[in-house]
This record gives sequence, structure tokens and C-alpha cells, in this order.
Amino acid sequence: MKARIGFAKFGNMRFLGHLDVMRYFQHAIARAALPIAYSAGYHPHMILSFAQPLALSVTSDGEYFDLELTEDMEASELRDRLNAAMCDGFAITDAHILPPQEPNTKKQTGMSQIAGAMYLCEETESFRGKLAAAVEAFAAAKNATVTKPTKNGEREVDVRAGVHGVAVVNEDGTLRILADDGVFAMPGSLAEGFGEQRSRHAIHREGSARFVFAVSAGSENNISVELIGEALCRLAGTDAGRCLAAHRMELYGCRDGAMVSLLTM
Amino acid sequence: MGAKLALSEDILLTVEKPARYIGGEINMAIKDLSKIDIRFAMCFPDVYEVGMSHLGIQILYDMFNRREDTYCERVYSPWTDLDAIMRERHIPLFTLETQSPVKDFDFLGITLQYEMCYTNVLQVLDLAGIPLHAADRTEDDPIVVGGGPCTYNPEPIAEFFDFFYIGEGETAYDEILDLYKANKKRGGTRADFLRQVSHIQGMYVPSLYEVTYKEDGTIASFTPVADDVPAKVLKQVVTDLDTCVYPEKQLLPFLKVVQDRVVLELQRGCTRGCRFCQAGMIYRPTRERSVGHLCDIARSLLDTTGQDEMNLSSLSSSDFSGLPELVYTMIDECRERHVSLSLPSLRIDSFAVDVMQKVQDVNRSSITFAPEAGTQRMRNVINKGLTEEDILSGASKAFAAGWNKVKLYFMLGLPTETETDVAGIAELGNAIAREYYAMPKELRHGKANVTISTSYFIAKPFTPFQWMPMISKDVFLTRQRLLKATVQEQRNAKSLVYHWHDAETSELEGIFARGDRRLSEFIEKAYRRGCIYDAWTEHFKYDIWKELMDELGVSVEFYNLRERPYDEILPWDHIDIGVKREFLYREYEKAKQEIVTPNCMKQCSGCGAAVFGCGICVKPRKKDGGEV
Repeated sequence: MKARIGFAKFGNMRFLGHLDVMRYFQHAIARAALPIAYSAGYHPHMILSFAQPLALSVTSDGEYFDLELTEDMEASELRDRLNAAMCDGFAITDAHILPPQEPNTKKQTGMSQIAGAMYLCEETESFRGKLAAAVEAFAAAKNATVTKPTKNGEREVDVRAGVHGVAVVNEDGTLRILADDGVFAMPGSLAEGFGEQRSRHAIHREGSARFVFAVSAGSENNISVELIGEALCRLAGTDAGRCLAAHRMELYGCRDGAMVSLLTM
Repeated sequence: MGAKLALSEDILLTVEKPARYIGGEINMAIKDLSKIDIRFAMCFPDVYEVGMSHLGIQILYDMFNRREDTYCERVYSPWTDLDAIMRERHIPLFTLETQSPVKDFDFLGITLQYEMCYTNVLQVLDLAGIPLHAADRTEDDPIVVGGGPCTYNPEPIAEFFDFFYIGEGETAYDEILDLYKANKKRGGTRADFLRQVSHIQGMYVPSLYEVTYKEDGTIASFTPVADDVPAKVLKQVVTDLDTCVYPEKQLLPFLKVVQDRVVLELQRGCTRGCRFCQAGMIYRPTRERSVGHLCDIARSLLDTTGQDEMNLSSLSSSDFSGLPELVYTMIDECRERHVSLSLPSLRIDSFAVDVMQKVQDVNRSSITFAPEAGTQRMRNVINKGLTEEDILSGASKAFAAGWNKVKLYFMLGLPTETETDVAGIAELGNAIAREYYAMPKELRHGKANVTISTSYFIAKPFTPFQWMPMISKDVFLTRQRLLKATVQEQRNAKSLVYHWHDAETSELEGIFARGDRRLSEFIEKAYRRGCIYDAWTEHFKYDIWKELMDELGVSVEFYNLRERPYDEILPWDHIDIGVKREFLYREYEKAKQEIVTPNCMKQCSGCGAAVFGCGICVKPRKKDGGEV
């Protein structure tokens, strides 16, 4: 049986790197004594597949991994047992049993399905009060190129093309949409519903302006918060630096041209 | 969300591996500070990944936190990147649990596992804002206590500690903490507390002893300042390992640490009596845990951590009487849990080969021997009860079972060593390779791979070699070159690889190991000039140490190269490990005569450890299978 686990990573655990998060879950699964499946071979490892690494310092309410169990189990039991093995800074939010793979189809793991992500960002301390105009300009712009380091030198990337939705968060938590091409369902507010649920573990530093970005993600065109930050610095005419602190609200797959939560893919 | 971090996000994103500094690990103790009387900061003065690998800290952490009135938190040396930031921005050293300044604690306990951590001890005190010298501390400073193997001769760092706990930590801390509380309650001072602590067995308060020196630099007298302070400090010993505390919930680090596994301590002490080995003397008498107790602990450790590897730890696992029973029970359980077992310090015999075949990947792992010396004569001098026959038959069993990699550990510069002994190392390596090629070709898997490693013999306190001279760095290098050349001359030279250990670190380690109180200035000045992380080759600054040796007149000749006479007062003579000085001297004489002493299982040699009335001294055991 295969299942997809949704989890949140927050608080001090935001300083844990991706490899350590994977190790953490391997240990947690062993503590929860789940009937996890192992790969074959002399050095068997748990069959786990993590959706997408989260950069250091980024918190999240929308992380996923897939696991394979050797026995059937109710989704609620899976979620509860795993949750009991969590430490402060991790919480299991969902467990979803995946349908058996149809014969003669390509194996779909969480990783290969990723097409989009939504981030709640806010100005870092040194950029406090400095980004609002740049975000407006970014949303209005047709393109915004930055140089991205690659394996063979550098490459010019149009960040704007990979950004599908931009919004400013008002004082009361409602969103003022600056750009929206309709690919994502942008939340109306962080005070209720999806927006509330998926911003629960974000850190809010008093006085920092907040923004929501809905972006392309995954292997084809991955737009990181860092790239957006760089584009904003260019627009603001300031030296590049870490201008955005980020919280991932959700990861998405693409179905019939629309972004849907990875949980339900 | 965890404790409010001591470091800002900017700093944490600048330094390497920020997870070193955030705490919050699985099985970390969380307590309400308003209900705590005693705050104990427990420090391993090295980087997080090294410190978190240490079982002793896990034991004491668990034990302290079982007390309701005490909160024990951890602190490690900040890595060099953070060290620089903390100095520049005046950030005080903090603990991981509550991220609070170490200076606010009642105690700072520092474990001293190797001499090369001494400058890191000063780094920790300095970053914490605690005066380096115990004499300069006030009522507001924590009591700084040292423990661990280096406390058997703590003299080089004596001035930096308020007291040392000599011996095993499980036994006397309750008494010490109760005493501390009572003293505080009646308004007693730091000095009052230390005076009372000195009355507890095993507690050495350096400020309560006076040392005078002769003109030649040796000690003239070492005396307590008052009649109520004991002249001899007898170490603490756990008499029953089955009833003493053992952490059933070991802390599980997020980072991959040096020893990335749970540790099951089978026994303490070693019956072999190798004459160079300090652990073999200071942890006497040998005491075992029962197999039933060990299995219970093992299950609970795996349940509460989810670790996928377990290490059976002991100075000499093969001497543990319950080993087959324990291993065969745990092998199956571990397989079911997908946990791998590791058994270091196993002598290679039929049992070992069978076990290793079950728990290791024959193609990838290697088998290890520690003959320590290349000839039988030399092995008799050091009392290493391992013969060439044992090694060759062990190796050929392992070869037949599919291994082709062998690791061999030796020491250079052992007392009485000659060129023949040095050459013997290469010849032994060659003989092992010959065993491999003597097998029919169809049984072999490619080339044999015999790795020879040598380290520089360091004479340690409380060993029969404590009076012996070490060889100089130059002689050591000559012997290394000789060995290298001899290895190349061997018939199977292509199957032999030779690795050596750097001599400069060992020279300094030798000075500290048998050093006296006058070295504190040397250590402090080295620290002031930028020495930290001396145990890390890439950070070891020999030129600074060398410069200071010349400047302060710290003589390698005096500390390392001379033979000490029997009647010389040694800097550690006031410490009593149970094993008598007379026994050690008898062993020293027998070493010179190349006479072997049987191990404790065969015959009691009357070392003196029986004074503790436990372990092998009261319950002799016999093991089948002879000596391998």
C-alpha cells in the first residue's frame, strides 16, 4: 500500500537541511513501528520519496513524502502514529492512501508530479519597508530576468514568466491580488480557510510587509524564493541580498492545466 | 516552536550546519525552569558531531534529568566559524536546551576525553564569560567540574577547574548536588562547598593542594592544605552495572554525527593488562552487564530512537562472557527491525567470523587486528597476548569466509623497540598477505588489501610505562621511514598500504599526559595566541606551540624523553585508582625482562583493584575457547 503524507515544518526546525529531514523521518517511521517496505539488495533502505527540498530557514505548511507499507492501514491511524513520533517543529497534517498504480503506466512519485508552489513571503529585517513598490512593479512587469548559476556557468532566467500569482497581504490578513493568470486558485485571506490553514506555522515579524507568490516548481521550471528576491532587488535598485523570508503554503501538481494540491494528485 | 534561539537567523544562515546550535532533538529533556533548583551545563569541548557521539554524556544527562530539582543541558564547542562571530559580537556561550547563557548555571561540567581538547576547554570558559582560572571566579560563576579519562592526571589544567570528579560518574553526583543545595540554603560560599566536596570519595579540589618543586623540575612535595582534605583521592566505581542508571532514551541528533548509532555498553574494564593501555588500568576491575539486562536496554534504545545501527561497545568485546548469547539473540531481532549491528574490538576467531558474516557485508568491510607490535619479543614487553599464529589463523579464517581487506594497528616507539621490531611490522603484514595468496585461486576475490597503520607511542599515567621514556620526534620519523622502506621491500608489497600518524600532535599529547601544574601557563598562552581545535589536524598550529615551548622552557626532554626514577613524585600520585603503584612498577620491571603477565581471567595478579570488591575480582570467570 502506498500513502502520501502531508506535514508541516516550522519553528527552530527550519534550520534543518533536507538530508537531515529525510533522516529524521526514517527514524520517526522506525519509532512509530510502521510496516514500512524496504528496497531489495544488500543495503536495504526504506521506500520513501520526498517531494521537494525546502531551503534552510523556510518554514512550511505544505510538505509531502510518499511511503510504501507492507500492510494495509487506515489513513487516520497512519497519521496519528506518525504524529506521535514527531518532535516540536514537525507536525503530520495529512495522510492519504494512494490508489494502486495502474498496470503499464509510468511510476508517479511525489517528486515527478510537482508543478507549482505557493509561498507566503515577508521582508527580512534589513529590507523592512523597502519592497512594496518593487513587488507592485514585478507584478505589473511582462518579464524580469536574473542570472542564475548553473552547472556550466550562468544563465539568464525570466523569473516573471514562472510567477502565476502575486498578492499583497493586508493588515487584516486579506489579500490584494496584484497579478493572477488563473492557473492557481489564489486564497482570499490568510485569516480563514485554505489561507489560514496553510499560513499557520509561518513566522510573522512585526512591521514586515507580506506577499504571496504562486510559482512554477519542479524539474521543468523551478522558481525559488531566492530568484524572486533577486528580481525584486533589481527592481528596487538595491544590492542583492536575502530580502525575503519565506513560508511554503502548498505544493501542487498539474491536472488538466490547473494546479491542484499534491495531496490529491 | 522550540526555545527562543540564542543566535539570530542571519547568523544561523551564515554558519556551517546551523543544526549544531538549535537543540530540540528527539529525547531532549524539557523542564520548567521555575521548578528547578540546580542548573547543570554539561559540556563536551569539541564540535557537536563529536560531542553527541559520546555515551558518557548521554548517561550523565539522563541521570541528572531524572532528578526533579535539576535541569541538565548540553553545550559543545562552537565551530571556528561561529567562534569568530561570537567573539566579534560578544554573544555569550549558550546551552542547547533553553538557549541560555552558560554563565547563569550552577555547574559547568566538562568531560575531558583527550588531552588535545585542552584549549577548547579554555574556549568554552572564555566564550561563556567565566574567568579561566578557578582562583578568579566569584560567587556568581558556575562551579566548573571536570570528568573523564584525562582527570586521572588533571594537573596541566588543574588551575582552570574548581574540582575534578575522579572515576565513574553514576555514583556520587546525587551526594554532590544535595551538598550544593544544602550549602546554598545556609548561605555557604563557593569555598565552603568546595571544601565539603573534597571530603567525598573521588573528588579532587586542586586549590586545596600545594605543590613544590625541586631544582631539577621534579616535584618535591604535593600536600593538602589542611588536615581534613584527603592526601589521596580514591576513584569512584560502579559496583553493579545491572542496577546503575542507563539511558533508555538516548538523545537522537538530527545531524549525522561521528558515531551515528545507539550504543550498548557491554562491560567496563579489560582483563588483558596491556602495559601501554591506560583504559585497561583505570577502569579496573572488569565488570559485566547481564545479557538479559542488555537485551532489555537494547530494545528500549531502538524503540525510543528509531536508529538503524547499534554498536556493542567494550574495550574487548570478545572477553565478554555472554557475547555469543547476546549476539545470537540480537542478530535476529535486529534483522527484523532492519537494524545493523556493529561489534568493534572483536578478536578474530571462528565465532567472530561467523558473527561478522551475519552482520557485515563481506565484500565491503574489512577485518581488524591490533597486534600493536611487530615481533613476539615486543608484544611480550607490552603484554599483548596475541601471537603471530593467532593473527595468521584468524586472518586465514576470514579470508576463507570471503574477506580480502585487513587493517592492522601498531605503535612505533614502544619502550625497548629496536629496528628488528620495526621491520617485524612490515613482515607481519607480508605474512598475512601470504596467507591470502596461499588459498586456491578460485577462493580469492582479487588482490589482498592489508593496511598497516602506526601511531606514536605515548606513555600514559597509571600504566606500567608511566616511568618509561618516549622516543623523540626525530627518532620516530626515522623509524617511520625505515618501516616505509621495509614495507616496500616485502614480497607482497603491492598488497600492503602503510598509513602513519602525525608526530607533532603526539609529542604534545605526551607532554600533557604526564604533565604537571606548571603547564597551565603554556596551555593558556597557546589559547590566547589562537590555538583551538588542536585535535583537528587542519586547525592544529604546531608553530605556536613550538614557539611557546622555547619561550616558556617547556622541555620535551623533561616531560617525554627521560626515564623517571621510582622514587620520583609523579604529578598524579595523589590519585588512587585502586591499582597499586607497586603493581605497576612490577609490571614495568617484567616488561624490561620481556615476561608476560596472565590476564585476570586466568589468574589474579594482585593489582589492587580488588579493593572495590566487585567484578572479576570477586567473581572470577572462565572462558572456553582459549586465547585468540
